[in-house]
Amino acid sequence: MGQKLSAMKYIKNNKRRVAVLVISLALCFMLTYLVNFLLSSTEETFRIVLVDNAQKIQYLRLAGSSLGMDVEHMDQEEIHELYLEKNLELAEKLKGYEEVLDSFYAQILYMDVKAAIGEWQTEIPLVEKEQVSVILKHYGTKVSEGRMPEHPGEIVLDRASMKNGNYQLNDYFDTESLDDTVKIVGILDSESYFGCGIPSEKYQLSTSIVILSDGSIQDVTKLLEKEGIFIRDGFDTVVDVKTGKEDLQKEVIDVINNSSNVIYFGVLLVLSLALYIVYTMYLRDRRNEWCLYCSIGYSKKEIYCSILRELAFTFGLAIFIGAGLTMILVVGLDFGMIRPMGIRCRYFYPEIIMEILCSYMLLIGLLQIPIRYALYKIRTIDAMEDDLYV
Amino acid sequence: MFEIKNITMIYDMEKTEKVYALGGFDLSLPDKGLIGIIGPSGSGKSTLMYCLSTLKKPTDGKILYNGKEITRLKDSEREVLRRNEFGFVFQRHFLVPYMSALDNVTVAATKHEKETIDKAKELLKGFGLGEREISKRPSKLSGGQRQRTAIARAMINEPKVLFADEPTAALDHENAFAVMEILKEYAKENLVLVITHDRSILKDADSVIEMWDGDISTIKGGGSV
Repeated sequence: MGQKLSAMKYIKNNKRRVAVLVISLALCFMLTYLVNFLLSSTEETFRIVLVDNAQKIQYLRLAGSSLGMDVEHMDQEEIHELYLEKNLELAEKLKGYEEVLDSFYAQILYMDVKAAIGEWQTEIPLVEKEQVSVILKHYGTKVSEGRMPEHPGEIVLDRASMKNGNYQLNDYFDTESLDDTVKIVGILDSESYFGCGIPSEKYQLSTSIVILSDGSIQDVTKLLEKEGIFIRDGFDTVVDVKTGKEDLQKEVIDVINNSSNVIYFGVLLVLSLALYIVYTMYLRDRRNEWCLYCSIGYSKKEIYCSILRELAFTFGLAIFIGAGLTMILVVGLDFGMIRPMGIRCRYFYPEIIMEILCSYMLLIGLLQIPIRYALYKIRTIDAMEDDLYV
Repeated sequence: MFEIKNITMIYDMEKTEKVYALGGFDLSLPDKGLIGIIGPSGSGKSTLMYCLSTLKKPTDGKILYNGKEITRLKDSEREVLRRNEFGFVFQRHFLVPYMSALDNVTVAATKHEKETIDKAKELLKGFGLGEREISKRPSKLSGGQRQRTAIARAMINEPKVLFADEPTAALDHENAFAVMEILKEYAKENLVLVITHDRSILKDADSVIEMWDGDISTIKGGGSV
């Protein structure tokens, strides 16, 4: 037939209207991505704490009864001694397994790791001076600033922990709970929320068996079962890859997904309603124009195609601008907030982009309702002029 | 060009009192010339124009355009005919408000944009619109300039038939005669059908068809019943 109905004529001549629509859609892209980015940075951070660290070191805190202790007719001191003895005995037995490189009975210091949303406690093993270097070597890190712990109450933390807890070298750790008893004397050359030290003489902290493994232990309970120890929920605590993954899924990913879904659907609902209303008004304004096109020989299909081209251009431009704005903000947030907080993040989340693109497709689908209705209402000018005389 | 046989158009078909907009007459129109169709409101002149231009389908009768029956065409075929063979000037100018005068003309073009821009400018300038007016939106143009833009839009594809429904209704006398001059010039090579109440603008028409109550009362000049 020749020339198509150009979509660009409307866009060129209605820059403000189109710009409002494009910017609104671009801001929704940005908002949706940023919310998901912040939530996902929480998952990234806690994955290191819960899963990655558990590949190298596992912790066992068992109840006396699980260790086979019979405490009847024993006083507190005797119980304590027997508990120590049983734990040391189990730690020695665990060393006999091929996948266990070393095992200690140690006090545990709990460190809060704060993410963009929420926080999690991770273990800092407090061991004998000689064992500190064994743990650090096993972990593949070394002191990059300050020095190794030499005296009771001295610890080293890695860079991520220092930033996350807003600590400086020679600061005291958690002064609120521990007074000035635990001092940070060195910074480790790693970024995985890890630390190690020597227990303070003033406070007796909770204890655990620390297992240094070759990375092949996913489930410590299987080793314990071989020793006749069966883990009971509510009595015993196991920190390994299996429990880490379970906690990550249940306490972090599921919670994040629920929150992000609520935000996502909220944004989508508001956007859909606003867009539907605005677009319906916009279509009404253009009715005479399309009636004219129809009268001078353009088919409804050609008119529909030009509307779709306008829509595709608007959404395409919105995605382009939204992606650009989002990238700038993501980098800004990373340098301005995430890195200073010692939080981990990824810039590129293809699944979030897919979600946004799908929601845009859904919106375009939804807008087919007013478009189809507007097309149905198109009449040739003779019919419109008949109306004038009715 | 047009052979009209027993054309009938009935409105309100479902009602007991039917309204005959066209009462069943024959008419033959030439290939070129300025034909005026005149008559009071409700005489059926607009309905006749819409039937000839395929915008309306008559209830009964035949319309042959260059020997081809156009009343039985499919919608898509009628669209192609309107697009390629016919041009329209409506009672109201129906210019697209957000487009410049130039864009309003090129929007109807069937050829590619580059070819038509020069032609649209030539038409608009020929109709007395200056370089500045060409880029103005309809709201910034006078009534006469708007109607001349609408005529330029109707002529951009060099249609064989130009239908003009009350093209001078909203214009003062000076502009009305200027518009009629344009149409008269175009009618030298093509057929121009002008519907009007105003007999004075048809003084140079090759033929004037008078309509009354859905029928042709008289024909002066070319054309035949």
